[in-house]
This record gives sequence, structure tokens and C-alpha cells, in this order.
Amino acid sequence: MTELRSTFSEEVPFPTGLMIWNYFDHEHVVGTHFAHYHRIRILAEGDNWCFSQRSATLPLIPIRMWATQFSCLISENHMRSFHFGPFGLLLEQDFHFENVGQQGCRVTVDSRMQVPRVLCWLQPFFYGVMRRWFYSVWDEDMEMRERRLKVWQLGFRDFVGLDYVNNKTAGPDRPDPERPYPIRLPVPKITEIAHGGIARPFRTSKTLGYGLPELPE
Amino acid sequence: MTGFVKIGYLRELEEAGQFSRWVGNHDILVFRQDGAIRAFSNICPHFGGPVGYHQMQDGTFTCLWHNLQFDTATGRCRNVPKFKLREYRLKIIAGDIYALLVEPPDDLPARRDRDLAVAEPQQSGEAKTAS
Repeated sequence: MTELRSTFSEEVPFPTGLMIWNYFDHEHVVGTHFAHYHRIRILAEGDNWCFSQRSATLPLIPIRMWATQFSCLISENHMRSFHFGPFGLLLEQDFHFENVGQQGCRVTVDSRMQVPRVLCWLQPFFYGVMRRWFYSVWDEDMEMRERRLKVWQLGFRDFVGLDYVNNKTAGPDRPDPERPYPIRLPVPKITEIAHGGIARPFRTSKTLGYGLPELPE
Repeated sequence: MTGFVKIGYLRELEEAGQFSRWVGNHDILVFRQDGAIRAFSNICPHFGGPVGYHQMQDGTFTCLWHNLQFDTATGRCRNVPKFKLREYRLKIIAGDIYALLVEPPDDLPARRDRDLAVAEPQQSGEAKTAS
């Protein structure tokens, strides 16, 4: 056997707690990443692990593929995932979260797949698929993380929202950059999603993005 | 910010029938439906996702992050009925759209749980309010 391998690393201006929320919020894959993922179902979940089934279309491989995935947060800075795909293929991934300053984080993703030695020539293809996958999903997640941090610093409460919006009262003048972002697992689920799984609710969509630029003062 | 605050222009509704924008610390989703112009909070009560990322379809907004769906008539979530988007009161003056971000304290008890702000396009003055 031989091992196909890729490693990518990026630094972000978001706290580690937010990054782990992002990686452990498994249902968002058919939302935020609706262009790639078609369906996800949480099969079992514990405080620091999740076993799920999902279907997705990978870059450079234009067919829909099913896989089961087991993810485990080994420590506050290390998540390990196993993706069980077709033909007995197993993709192993390690995600390392390194704190950078007060509010930053460096994420390093190391991916490995054992294949028969005769397939060692697939290494450039494997690297290309993983690279394209990592960065396309990464870019979609970056907008999500940025917005999540903004509403969090405005006082957002999960499953409630922003109190000053709901109550129609005056809110904070500005976000609070000091609000801590703790690691809380498992990410809370909506009952329907947790038990039945979710799929994209539409075949096509016109997307309008995260919003128009703010008006000048 | 107190009083009505400018949040955009009627012309911004022409292409897709909706737009969203941060104004102060409010993310507001403005849309046209059945000739009326209305505005909801664009912040999903679940985790804060953008409700107006996708163009509305069949009277429904679908939040980008987790596909929670909201009825455009009521702002109520179809998946989790306890979730409801706040509706903003609007004024439209000379093609500019204004929203009341903070309700006057005297109005709050009466208005807190009501759906408000139905405005005809091109109409000047304060938006009609639903009763």
C-alpha cells in the first residue's frame, strides 16, 4: 500500500471556539455548502463526536458520492475525521487548531488515503481534488464565520436571536470584541434535522449573497 | 439610531424583488410581495444566518446556513414555529426606503407582537400598518 497525502493551512481572525463550532455544526453542509452537498443525516452523536451520512459532489469527479463520516474532537485543538467512501476507500483527516493571539486561529488540515501501491500515480490528482475542495468550502465558510462572529459580538443568543432586534429597543453602539466564544459541544440540533436528516429544499436557487454594501454615513 | 433611518432605495428592489443590508447593528431584508414593500430582520434566530441569501420562492425565504424556511406573509419559521422574524415599520419617501429600528417606548407594548409595515411602492409618508 501507499499513502496519498495533502496538507493545507490557513490563519483566520476568528477564535478557536468559533472554528470548532463551524466544523462541528455538521448540518450546515447542505446549507452553506449547498453547491457541493446534497444530503446529510446525523446517525449518532456524543459530546465530542459525531457519526453522519452525507452525499456530495466532489470537484473533478462529477458524480454524487455517498460517504459516512466519523468526527471526534480529541482535544480543544485537535479534531480527527474518518470518511468511509465507495470501494472501501477511507479518507483520514486531522484538523489542528492553533490559537493565534487573542482572537485568531491557524487551521491545518492533513488528509491521507491508503491505496494500493500501483495507484501511487494518483497523488497529483488526489492533491488537486483536496486542494480545490478545501478552498471552495473554505471560502464559503469564511463568510459564515465572519457573520457568526459579528452577530455573536452583538449579543446573539442561539435559538433566540438578538434581544434588541426582537424587542425593538436600542441595541449596542458597536459589537463587543471581548465577548468570549467558548467551545460548547455538541452543537444544538433542531429536532427535525437531528432525526430525519436534511437535504437541499430546492433544485435551483438564485443567490443574492450576504447583502448589499452599507450606505455611506 | 432613533427615528426612521434610510436603509436603501426602491430601485434596489428591481432586479430580484428583495435586498438585504446592514444598517447600524441591524441586518434588514427588504422585499416586495403582491405590490407591497415590507422588511424583516435578515438574522435567523437559529444561529444568525442570512435569511435573504436566496431569492424568495413560493412565499418562502430559505436561510442559507441550515435551510430553515420562513413564511414571507408572517415571518414565521415553517420548521420551528417558535422562530419569528421581526418586521420593521417602513416609510418610503421619494424613492428612498426608511425603517424604524427602535420603536418609541410608548408604542412598544401595543406593537411588540404585531406584524407591521405594509407600504405601497412609490408611496410617500409612513407605511400602512397591518391591523
